[in-house]
Amino acid sequence: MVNKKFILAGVLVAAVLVGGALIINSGGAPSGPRLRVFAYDSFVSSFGPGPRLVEAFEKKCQCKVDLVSAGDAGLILQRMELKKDQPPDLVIGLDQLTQFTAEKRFQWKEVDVDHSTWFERFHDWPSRHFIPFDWAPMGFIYRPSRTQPFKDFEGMLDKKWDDRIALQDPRTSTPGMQFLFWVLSHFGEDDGFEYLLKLKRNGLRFAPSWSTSYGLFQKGKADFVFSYATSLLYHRIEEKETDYAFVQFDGLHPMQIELMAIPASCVSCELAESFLRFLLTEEAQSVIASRNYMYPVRHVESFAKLEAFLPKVDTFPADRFEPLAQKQLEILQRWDLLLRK
Amino acid sequence: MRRLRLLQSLFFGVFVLPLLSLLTYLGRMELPPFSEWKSTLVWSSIQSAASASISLVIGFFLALLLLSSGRRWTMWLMLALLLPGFFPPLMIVLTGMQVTDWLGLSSLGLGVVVFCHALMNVGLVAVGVYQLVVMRLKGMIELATVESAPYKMIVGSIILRRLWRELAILFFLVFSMCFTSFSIPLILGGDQTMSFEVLVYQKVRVYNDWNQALFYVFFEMFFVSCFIWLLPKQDDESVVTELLQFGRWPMPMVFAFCLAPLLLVLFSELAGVLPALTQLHLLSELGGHFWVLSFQSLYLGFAASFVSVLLCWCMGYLSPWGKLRKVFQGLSAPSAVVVGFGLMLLFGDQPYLQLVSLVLGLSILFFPYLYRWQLDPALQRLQSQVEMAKVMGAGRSQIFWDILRPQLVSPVGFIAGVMGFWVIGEFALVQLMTGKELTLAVLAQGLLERYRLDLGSIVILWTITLGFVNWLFIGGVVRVFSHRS
Repeated sequence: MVNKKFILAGVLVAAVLVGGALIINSGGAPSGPRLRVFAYDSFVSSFGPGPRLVEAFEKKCQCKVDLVSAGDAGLILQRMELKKDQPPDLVIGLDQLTQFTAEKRFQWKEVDVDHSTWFERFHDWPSRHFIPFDWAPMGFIYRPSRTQPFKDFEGMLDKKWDDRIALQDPRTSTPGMQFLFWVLSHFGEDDGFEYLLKLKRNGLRFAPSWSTSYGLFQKGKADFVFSYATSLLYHRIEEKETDYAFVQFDGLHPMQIELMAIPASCVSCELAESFLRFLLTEEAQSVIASRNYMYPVRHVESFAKLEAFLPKVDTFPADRFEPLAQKQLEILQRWDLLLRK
Repeated sequence: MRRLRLLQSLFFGVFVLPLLSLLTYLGRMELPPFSEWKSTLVWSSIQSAASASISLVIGFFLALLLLSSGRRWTMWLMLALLLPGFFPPLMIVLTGMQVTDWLGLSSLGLGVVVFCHALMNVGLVAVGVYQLVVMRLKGMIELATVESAPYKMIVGSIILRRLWRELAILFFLVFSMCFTSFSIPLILGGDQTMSFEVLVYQKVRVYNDWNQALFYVFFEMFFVSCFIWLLPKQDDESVVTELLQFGRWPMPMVFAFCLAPLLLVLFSELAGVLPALTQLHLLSELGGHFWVLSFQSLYLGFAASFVSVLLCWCMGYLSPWGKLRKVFQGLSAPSAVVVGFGLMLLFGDQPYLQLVSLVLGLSILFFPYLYRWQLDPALQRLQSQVEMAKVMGAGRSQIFWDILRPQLVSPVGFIAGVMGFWVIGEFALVQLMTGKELTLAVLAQGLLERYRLDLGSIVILWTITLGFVNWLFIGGVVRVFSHRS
């Protein structure tokens, strides 16, 4: 005989499980159109720009936006490949280097946007498929009170920086890829890999992600981190900390341009296009710049005041790394071999 | 008998479901280059062997200290020893970074990966060895003590000589956990691929090569299975559940060493928490969402705990003493990426199914370890009782209801508690499968990705508290379910 306590506990557990599932999914199926957006994790997180942008857009469009946290650029493409029957309407978070892989693997819709309101550097933006929504120059961040910076790649080879520079692995991090291409474009491919080998032999380690390497820097485990020039804004605004600076190299710096695109397989294509256009408005660009700590692609009044805290960095043209990006897999395989040396 | 075999096969099928689903996706296989596998195998083996050896040596020493601790404190010290193994990997990663910082060592690479794995597993080994000594050698040790045998002789000639098989099993349990570890080698491994899980992730993410990714998953599972199947058989002896006091280590030393792993984690966590107190207002920016995430974390933990109870009972009911035991002993979970994408292919994005598949995925990831660690030894101890009942004519149901279920309360409650703890702290699979910020662990991960390392530490501390709450709750539920008038 099964006793009453047993049955009661069973009913209770079942009620908790079913009730909990109902509460968690209580958003329910919305009436009206639905837009499915794939974005990278930190864009979707509570402290990222995603939730605010979605809230603002939903008010305008009378629709429901499903913002899916789909990993990073690599995993976003993987998810699209595996779930071809449930394609996204819009993808947010590719960059000018992953764009080529995306172009090879999927078809994308052309979108006409008005470039005239954008900053001059984007006036000649060549792609009608991949639309920029923020950007930042990249280089090394350091704390002036603690160390004096190197000025060029040769300086990085100084023994005193052994294990003191936080870099990212290009296989798993797009900033890491920017650094790799920066080096290869500066030295040429063969000499570039020779240089990287020297860095590795100096004891430099490559973290799997930007967040890990930045964490090492914040914890004082590294004196320099390869990051965005706009990282200074976080410390300035959130921590009221002025002891962070950007290392200006003698030559040009790379820049990461974050892109969005509409897959040709989209279902709510018009809605996707309106959301894309919304993300380029001053209202949305202001949210993106302030929550992502990146430059907007157009003039934003609120951000203009903050630009005084940021260094003027000369950057390569957006398409500078295109030849390298086109043969990304080959380069990464060479990187794999280098790590095993 | 055929029905039983079918049920056993179905039960096993659940654990390889994601793999089966991805097999349909395979194309023409091109074997990965030998240098790639060789280097990963070498690094994984060195990393896992070093982690397991250090865990075993330190764990054995801690077990000796536990044995001398006296009845009053043993249970508390055991809990303190086990806790670092339940904490979310992110917390252990932060500790690893902090400790290498204090020691002036590199924060990335083999050393810190081994350190983190050892930190998580020394307690598991210490408690395991303590339980083995008490269960199998209590009488012998008491007799030797009465006969005034020297301490070294008891440790060497009784404990080490009699328990070498069990120590080997503990070594390989830790080895297999480190060999299949993902988050720690990924974050701290630096540029060396220190586990096959990381290589699988790279194959999928960077090269979009599912063929080679699945090849590595099968290779890893085969490798771990071979190790475990080659292990010596455990002695089957009667169970003693009393405590044993043996040895006279000074109590301050016992406390200092047994609490060291836990205190290390807590201190380095506090080192992050204190500076973050000024940022606490940022959490209020989340408003009710923070509590929603807390509820969802707790819900997921509870659901996974409950599923683990059901899995334990299914296992008991399905007579895990033959082939099924052999299969489960050698089963290691496929990587999180494979489980996530495999189940996503099967279940799609329908919200309720997504929740079910998430709980299933988390169970597939964690249950095989918990089975090997707690349930398998517990079931083996009951085997003789079950054989006896069969001879007396008892049926499968009666054996399950009257012999197994009541006696499995403690290990099943423990498994459910640990499962909840691990699930509440898990972020990778939750984010991959739901695409949402569903739990606090995902929020913490998001904070780390947005410069807010310290605030992330506070959120992680809160998730641990929720892990405890879930443990207490599920412990009560298991007790109610396991008693019968």
